[in-house]
This record gives sequence, C-alpha cells and structure tokens, in this order.
Amino acid sequence: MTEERRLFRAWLILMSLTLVSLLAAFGGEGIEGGSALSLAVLMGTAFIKTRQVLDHFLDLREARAGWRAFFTLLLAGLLLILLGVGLIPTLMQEAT
Amino acid sequence: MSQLDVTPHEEKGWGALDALPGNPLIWVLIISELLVFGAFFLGYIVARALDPQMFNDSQLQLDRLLGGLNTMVLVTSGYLAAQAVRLRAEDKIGASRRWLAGAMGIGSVFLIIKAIEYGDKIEQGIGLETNTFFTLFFLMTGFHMLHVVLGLIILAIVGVHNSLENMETGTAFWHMVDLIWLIIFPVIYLARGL
Repeated sequence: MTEERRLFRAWLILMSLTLVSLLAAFGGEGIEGGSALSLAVLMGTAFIKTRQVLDHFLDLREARAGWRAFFTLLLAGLLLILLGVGLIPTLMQEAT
Repeated sequence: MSQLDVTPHEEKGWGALDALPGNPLIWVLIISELLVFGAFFLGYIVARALDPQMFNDSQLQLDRLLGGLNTMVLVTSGYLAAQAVRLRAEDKIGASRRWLAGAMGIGSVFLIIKAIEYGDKIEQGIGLETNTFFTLFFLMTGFHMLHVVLGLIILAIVGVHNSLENMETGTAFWHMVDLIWLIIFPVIYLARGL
C-alpha cells in the first residue's frame, strides 16, 4: 500500500468511527443497559481513533516496540479509568 | 568518521526519545500534554460520578452533532497535514504547501464552529460559573481551543519555513491537538445518561 493510500485509509477509519460513536451515543439512550454499552463503545472507538492518529499521522508505527507499548498503555489506561469511574453511577443505581 | 556519523540517533542526546520519529522535543510536549489533559479527564469523571444527575442534565444542553462535526473537521485537517508532510518528503514543495494551506483552512472551521457553540451557550445565559459541569466544559474545551489557535500559527510558520523537519515537528503538534479532541468529544459530549 502506498503512503498516500495508507493515510487515506486512516482518515476513512477516523471518519467512520466518529459516526459509530455518534450512533452509539444516540442509540444507547432509553435502552436498558444501553448507556453502559454505549460508554464501552465510546471508549473503544476513542482508543482505536487515537491509535490511528499516533500510528499513521504521527508515524509512531516506525518507533520501537517499547514506545508503542508506552503509548498504548497510557491511552488504554486513561480510557479504562474513564470507563470504570464513568460506570460507578450506574452500578450504584443498580445496587439501590 | 565521527561518532555522530556512525550513530545519528545517539548524537541528539535525547536518549530513548531519539527512537521516536521527528524532533524529540515534540514528543516531550505530546507526552506532557497527554498527562495534563489526562488529569483534566480524571477530575471531570470523578466530579461526574459525585453528581451524575447534574452532569447529565447539563450535558443535554450540548450539541452533540456540532461536536461530531468538529471531530470530522479536525481529523480531516490532520489528514491533509499528514499528506502535506508526505509530499514534502517527496520534494513536491508547492503541492505540500497547498495541502498544508488546506489543513489550516479546515482547521479554522473548528474555531468557527466553536464560536457558534460558545455563542449559543452565552445566549442561553450559560457561562463558566453556571455549575461544575460547565466550569469543566469551558475550561477543557477552551484550553484545547487555545491549542488549536497555537497549532494554526505553528502550521503557518512551518508552511513558510518548510524544511522536512519543521514540517514534521509542526504537524506533530497539530496531530497532538487532534489526539486530545478525540478523547474530549466522547467523554464530554457523548457519554451521558449513565
């Protein structure tokens, strides 16, 4: 794949996942358990999108495995914490 | 032959950062910014967990479609900037400048949409002191918007002084701005109703 096409593919993925996250946000409303599922989809798509930017626009794919692992852990860690803390109100509501 | 000629990465003296593409300093900035915004996100999500009803009610007043449109605007601008760097690496300087100008033009649309959004909130009487949600909303998106303005200035500078290293470094800042918005958008605009 040429460099031009690789960048274009990354852009297409970013645009598509933005639409997916919008659909997940709208679709998760009014469905039992939908909010938690939609939050998981939102954090998952955010992770894939940030990886696309790092790997293709910032060329991190050319970096050493250690750096790639560092950024993966940094972003995945942050998004997992956001997901976990974000779910607390739902879990408390279910418990009461 | 000097040591510098043998190991060009080592000569920069940035240690592990020399293994990253582009100027090592930009990666120091990218990591620092991710940590700063990471702290903002953690503060936001904890405040939200303490008062979910107020956050959900306030969040309903945001325009998710405008937020989504701005996401598409930023990733498209980032794409154009990445193509500009590719063209510069191929010594197509004129085409590279045109793509970079496109990136700046589309990047400016982000500011117009943000101005519309802020104007709408102000018209509704919503401001920084309305409640905790809007304090965090204006602080986080406003701080990010300042980065967008700075990013556009940097793109303009590297468009003029367009060595490959300048282009890589300037557009890396722009991609970092993009990266942060990709987390702001789902967390602040979309994650509601929990």
